[in-house]
Amino acid sequence: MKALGKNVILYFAFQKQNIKTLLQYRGDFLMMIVFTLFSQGCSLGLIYIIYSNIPQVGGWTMWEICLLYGFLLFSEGFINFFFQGAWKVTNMIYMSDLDRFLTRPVSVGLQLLTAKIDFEGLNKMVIAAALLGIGIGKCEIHWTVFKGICFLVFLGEACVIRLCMIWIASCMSFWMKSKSNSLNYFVISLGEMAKYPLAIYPPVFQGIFGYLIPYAFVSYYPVGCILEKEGMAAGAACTPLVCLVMAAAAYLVLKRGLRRYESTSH
Amino acid sequence: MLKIDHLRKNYGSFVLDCSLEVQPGCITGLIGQNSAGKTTMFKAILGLISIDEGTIRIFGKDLKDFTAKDKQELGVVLSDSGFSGYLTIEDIIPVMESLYPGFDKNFFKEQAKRFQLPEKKRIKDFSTGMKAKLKVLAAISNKAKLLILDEPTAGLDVVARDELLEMLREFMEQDEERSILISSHISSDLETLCDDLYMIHEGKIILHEDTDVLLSDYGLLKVDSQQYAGLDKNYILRKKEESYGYSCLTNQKQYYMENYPGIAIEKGSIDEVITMMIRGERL
Amino acid sequence: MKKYLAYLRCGFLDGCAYRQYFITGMLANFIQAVVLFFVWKSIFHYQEVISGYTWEIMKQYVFVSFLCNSIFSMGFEMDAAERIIKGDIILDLLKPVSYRTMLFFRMLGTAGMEFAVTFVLVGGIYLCINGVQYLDFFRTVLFLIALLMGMGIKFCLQYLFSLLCFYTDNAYGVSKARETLTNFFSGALVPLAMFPGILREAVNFLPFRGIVYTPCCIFIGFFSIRECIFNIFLQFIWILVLGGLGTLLGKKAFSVISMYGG
Repeated sequence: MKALGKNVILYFAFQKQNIKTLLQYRGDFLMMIVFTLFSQGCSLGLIYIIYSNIPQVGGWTMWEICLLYGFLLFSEGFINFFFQGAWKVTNMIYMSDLDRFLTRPVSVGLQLLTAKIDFEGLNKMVIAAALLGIGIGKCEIHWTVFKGICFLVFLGEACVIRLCMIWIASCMSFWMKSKSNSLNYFVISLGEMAKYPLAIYPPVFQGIFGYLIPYAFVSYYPVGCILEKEGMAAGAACTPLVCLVMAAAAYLVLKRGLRRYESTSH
Repeated sequence: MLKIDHLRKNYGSFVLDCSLEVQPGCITGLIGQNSAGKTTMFKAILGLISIDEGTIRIFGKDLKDFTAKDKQELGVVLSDSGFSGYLTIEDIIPVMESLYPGFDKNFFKEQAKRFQLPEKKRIKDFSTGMKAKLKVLAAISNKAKLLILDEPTAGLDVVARDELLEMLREFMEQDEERSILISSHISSDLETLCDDLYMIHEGKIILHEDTDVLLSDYGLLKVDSQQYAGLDKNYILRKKEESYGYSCLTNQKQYYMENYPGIAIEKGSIDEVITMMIRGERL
Repeated sequence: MKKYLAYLRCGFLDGCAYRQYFITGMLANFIQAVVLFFVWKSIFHYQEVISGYTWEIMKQYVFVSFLCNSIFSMGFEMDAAERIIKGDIILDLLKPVSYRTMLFFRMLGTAGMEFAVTFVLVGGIYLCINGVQYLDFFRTVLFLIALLMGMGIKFCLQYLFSLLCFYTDNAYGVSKARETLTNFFSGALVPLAMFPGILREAVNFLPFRGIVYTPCCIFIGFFSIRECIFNIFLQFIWILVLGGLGTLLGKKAFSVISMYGG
């Protein structure tokens, strides 16, 4: 418990440092907000255009798709803002920052996770929250207290699952000899798939990109469950389990990876 | 404090193979040319690379069992990493405080002022000397029991180097149990600072000696070939051909001074000893 | 000419060396294409014709737009921007070759490598799914011309956006913005014909349609021969306009350097 407390304090100390580092880009902050708003606007525009021609995709209406989108965007922003370091593992390995981390009396995982902060994440989370708000308003959902709690838990789980995905993909750098690692970009790009209901894809795709890389549990099942669509409850009930498995896998990958790690420069 | 026993690391073309010990209360120097294996050895000590054979023990504990908590007692300066350049000294303090329970904030601030490290300037705008001093200062402010410093004086001018060494001396004076392992390719830094010296060449330790002994007993004999023929070679470590005959490295200067009064004997500097050890031939 | 060939080769080697980025970029595009493919498939399941498109046409559209979009997907603006931010661009400007011409030939080299890979890959998949039944020699030639013109437009746009980095440090943001902009308004995601009302009219007056939509429509046969030639002409005009704009802005931006240089 004491260790946990120390880690939390450290987390904030590191992030405070990161924020100070970022302040030097102050001029770009506004530009970044504009860019994010703009690119998210385009992505949403795509959905709007598709739906302006037809009423539904795979049995889902536009506002329901908005919820899927909101879950994905929120988890993405969450990682960008709170744990952007998950993206930077490869850099850390090759810029020998990891050497410095390893000589400190603190968990390396924490130091890696907090290696960077990205305010774009905050921006994304705000947009996502707005989307979720609108989506909830437009969809007819029978709210109960339990469902409300579920909604928040699902959102949290989506963040954890996605963080673990990126983390594992980034940590593959420990095994790869090359100086760059695009697996994490690949994993995040796959999120594109989860913006639409899983059922529209053929079974092979569903298997690989829904379950093996568990995107189905990030948005499809949770949102389906909230919307009370058929056959979603079982999947949604599994999300905590998937969450745990992913977290355990992420932990293991780091541990194994560090054991393999060899500092490069002489 | 630190004991390395038959450490072996094979890189194919380069093999590190050495033993080394740092006694409590001592400053041990590791001296060698560029790419002699100094940094590799330091990385092995810090567990940053895997080792093929041998054991490394720090504070009597095998490196494999070293936990994050044990690292609190270590102060480390590596040559190629430092602080994020966009921060100032003021910014690092809170992080150092939460990282190391033993971090002495007042000492850190005091010393920063004394060595004229600006508190509000970004580290990336520091000069090389200021950066080096800051790295060492951060390492000694944790009240570490063992300091491991890889080339802390690299690229510094004479004055900055002297200030840095002064910092280390004061660190040692505060507590008798403290030890330092320091590497450099500038021998004069280590000559005045260290209690004992290890010389490393192509991954192997070629000489280990107390600094006092090195300075008092080692010497260079300058002899022509006739004198060389009549020389008792029991205490000659290396010889090298010169235009005038031979120069010989001995670790019993007194013996030759007493028995061969006609021979020119020079007090060998550490640099000369190293050069002889590496380039001279064995008898 | 020899100098330019050297840059061409340089770009080609760059492309090979950084193939990972190219592959990542292409994969991202590919995932997008696959997603859209299945989204459309499920849509056409309910409805046979949408804005004049049938499932058969749509299948081709998804492929061809992916091809057009993937060629030269790894923009050079990140690279150029980094050189600008670090100040290395001065070295480029000092060389006895026009900066833009140098970029163009490097890009051509890189694009050559990417083109070959994408073309074989997508072409192969296309033939597997659709067969040769829709191919027509004359149209294919026109399509290739339009594709090249589209690349020209893309180059001009990237050049313009890379100049933005004289004023901001956020190279990633700039390149992302350019990518989003082109993806959306070029028809890479949705055929421009499906855009609602006024937006559809608006996109016709933007240069982006020349990058994906024009070659796609030529290939699929949405344009009559006359329309094809008119559209290729339009692409040409856009290249001239954007190129002129690039020269103008370039002059202004480079003067910033001489101000720093002192």
